[in-house]
Amino acid sequence: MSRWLRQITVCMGLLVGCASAWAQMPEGWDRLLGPGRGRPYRGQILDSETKAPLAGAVVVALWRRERVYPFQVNTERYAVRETVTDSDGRFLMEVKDIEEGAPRRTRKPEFLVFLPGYGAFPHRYTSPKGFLAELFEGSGTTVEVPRLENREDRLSNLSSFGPHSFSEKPHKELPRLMRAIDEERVALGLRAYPPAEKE
Amino acid sequence: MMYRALLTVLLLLLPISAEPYEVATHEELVRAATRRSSVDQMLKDELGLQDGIRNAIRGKVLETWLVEGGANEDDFPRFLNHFHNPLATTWSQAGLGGSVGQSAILWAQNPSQSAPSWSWQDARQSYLDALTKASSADRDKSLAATFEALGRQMHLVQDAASPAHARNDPHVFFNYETAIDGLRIREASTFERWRDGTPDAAGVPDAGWRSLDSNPLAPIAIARLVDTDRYTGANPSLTTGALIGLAEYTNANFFSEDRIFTENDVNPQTQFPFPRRSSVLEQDVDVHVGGATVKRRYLIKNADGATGYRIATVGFLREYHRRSGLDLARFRETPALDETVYRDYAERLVPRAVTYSTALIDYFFRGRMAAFGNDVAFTIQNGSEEAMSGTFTLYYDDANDTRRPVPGASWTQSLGPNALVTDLRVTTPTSPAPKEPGKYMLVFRGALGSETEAVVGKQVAIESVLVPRLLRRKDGTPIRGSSLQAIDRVTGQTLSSGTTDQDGKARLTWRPGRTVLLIPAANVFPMYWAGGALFASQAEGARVIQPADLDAQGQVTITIPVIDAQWPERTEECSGQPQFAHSPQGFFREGTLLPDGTIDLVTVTYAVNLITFIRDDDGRETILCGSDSGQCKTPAAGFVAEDVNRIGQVVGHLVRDLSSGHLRQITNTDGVPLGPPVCFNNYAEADVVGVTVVEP
Repeated sequence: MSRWLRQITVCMGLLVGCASAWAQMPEGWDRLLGPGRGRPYRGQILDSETKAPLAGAVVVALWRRERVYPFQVNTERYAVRETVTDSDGRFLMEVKDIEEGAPRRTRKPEFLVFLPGYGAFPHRYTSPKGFLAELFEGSGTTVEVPRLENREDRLSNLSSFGPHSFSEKPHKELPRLMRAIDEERVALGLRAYPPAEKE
Repeated sequence: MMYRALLTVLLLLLPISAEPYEVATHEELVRAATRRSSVDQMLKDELGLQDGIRNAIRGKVLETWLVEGGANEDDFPRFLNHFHNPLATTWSQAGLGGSVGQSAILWAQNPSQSAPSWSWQDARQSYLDALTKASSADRDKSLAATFEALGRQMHLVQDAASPAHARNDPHVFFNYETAIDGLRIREASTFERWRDGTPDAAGVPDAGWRSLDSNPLAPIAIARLVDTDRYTGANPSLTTGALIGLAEYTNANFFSEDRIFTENDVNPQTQFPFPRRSSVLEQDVDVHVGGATVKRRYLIKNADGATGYRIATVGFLREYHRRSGLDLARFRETPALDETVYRDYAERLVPRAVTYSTALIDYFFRGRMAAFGNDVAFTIQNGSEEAMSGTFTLYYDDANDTRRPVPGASWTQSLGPNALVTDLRVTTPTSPAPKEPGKYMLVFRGALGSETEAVVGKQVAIESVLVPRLLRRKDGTPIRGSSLQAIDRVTGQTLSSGTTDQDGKARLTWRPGRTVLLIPAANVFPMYWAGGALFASQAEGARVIQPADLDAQGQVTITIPVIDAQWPERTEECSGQPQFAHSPQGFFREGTLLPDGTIDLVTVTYAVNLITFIRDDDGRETILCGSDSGQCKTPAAGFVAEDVNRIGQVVGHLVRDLSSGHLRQITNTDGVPLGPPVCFNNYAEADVVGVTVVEP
């Protein structure tokens, strides 16, 4: 076998290996934005005990994209958007501009719902199968969050997520979330977030 | 040569993924470990950060800095250094592919990683800077860097709970970590149960890891969290104990995607003796696929270490092999790892990722110090479980938040656990003055147990003590029972008060550089000490006491002239007694026995209409007594503290309206007059006499 033929054979082998590896992804585990990208996300947020709609809850969607490196696929934040629920506890998030222009290997968004005094979604919520975005596709879903009665629970809830996990500049990109977090921090006797220096 | 180059390029271009726990998973694990750790309490108790881990620094809470460190450690190409094969012959060959990347253990302790470097040593330096840098901004920046570095260190420990990282497996695409991150999103409650659950005793590292012998390649004890060097490849049962490195546990008990039953591999980089074929048995298990329940045959780990979970499925062609009667020796079966297997793995590995990284951050902040006493006799106690040997230095913040070392307040000491050093003297800083008097940051740098460059911080309050000693100037005797007050000259606040003891000493707390001393009653008027033997009536004229005024015992000696008033008084010629007395109803009688047995009896009566003392300097008038008074005050009642500085000087005048009667008569021993009075004079007049300050 000539040297070049040997090299090409090795390359082909490696590519076939990659293909077979890709096939290891189980069905239903595809986390990347699909053909239906760009459609709005909807949902309704309720008090889990009274079933009353919760107005003013901040809903944040975070898109991560995968970066492929040798020996590694990393994820990084691609985009983030927030909205708040209306008087019926409903929200509608338009994402056409984000998803239609998203690069390849952009994942479906992860969601956070936060309302001061309530457990944050998804940390106190058992979601059905499927990635979070799928819950809010089409007609959306109803999310019930519990009212937190004691300070320790509320502190723990605050620690279950951080605004900087969603954005490097949360004051600029997620002002409603930051206001809600600050409201909760102050209510719990903590100091409000100072703006980040970079912002 | 060209072939090798081409192959290298291809490898670099291929999207091969040895994904560690994904970034978001690491964020969750770091967050959970932080909550489980004692860091929050340490920040509150030791550093005085009232919001603890929720304290915002540079726009982010400290927890976020940790979490971001945990996420950022995967930046390209750092992740190449996140592998550790505990069975490698040496740690220098334990990284990805032996030496493609550095072992995670060495990487964690490599202060030359890149710029910036986030090694343990860098975290230590950042922490030292956070405690000691002059500018507040620099301290904040360093504290943020400390937590980011610790987040990265936690990441490295957590990666040891990923089979691919402990089995030298740069696996391709979908793998254990991908699955766990997917489950994090798909089934938050399941992931949180793993993350926050209470692991069994073996899931929490035995504290003995701290005192295992160090490896010179990575001498800091944290290496032992990942690899204790106790698992040799022949003793897998040891890995179920608590005194075991996380990579050892993971390596011995789990498969990664391309390292399944590799006990017979010839390549030492991929040959792992456990788990092996004899470690498992086959069993059919009901699994749910697409809404249906089906039986799938799994390999259940039942020997050689951890047991009781699905370690792999049988090969997908297993049934085909069986039905076709194929020779299994020829048609090698390839077991696989499915989602169910990953769940069983995660149930055991995710809690350990949390507890081991908790142990790491708790180890970083394990040092404890206690400090008590005052600036005259200050005590430092080693509150750690390990010996401390190094330098203890006090710092304070001035009004601009500039942190400064307290001059002379640095001590090199070796203290065993709970040992203390006493009677340290602190010269309270005054220039510039502290922002909050008495508040200091005590910083230790040195050996803490086996760690040679540890850093410990402790916010301490040191009371400043002043011991004034009051002596009578004239004879040097102590002035006892005199009250004293330390007054903050800036605020006017009374900081403390006391009374002199038998030695003339009182003990007061004070604020160096802004305290004046009020002596209310050594004389009949209040006076502030103005330095030396001088005194002032107002705080503005007082001496602001400086540390230099104190001797080695914190004592300042004040000699006080105890003064009185003196004024001229004529002697009346008949009685031989003072013509006038400051006595509203004064009466004097004195008899002298004469040689003939008679008595020379002198009788004097005094009366006062009004006596007033008028100061010469400001004309202030003090009424000493009137006709209805029981007795008269001394003119010193009109004195002020500055009069102490005027001994021998006339400081005012008495304006008096007085009367007196002076009678001299010879009587018998019964007091019966024996003839007319020898003399009898009455006086009623007003006069003005000068009053001189004297020190009797």
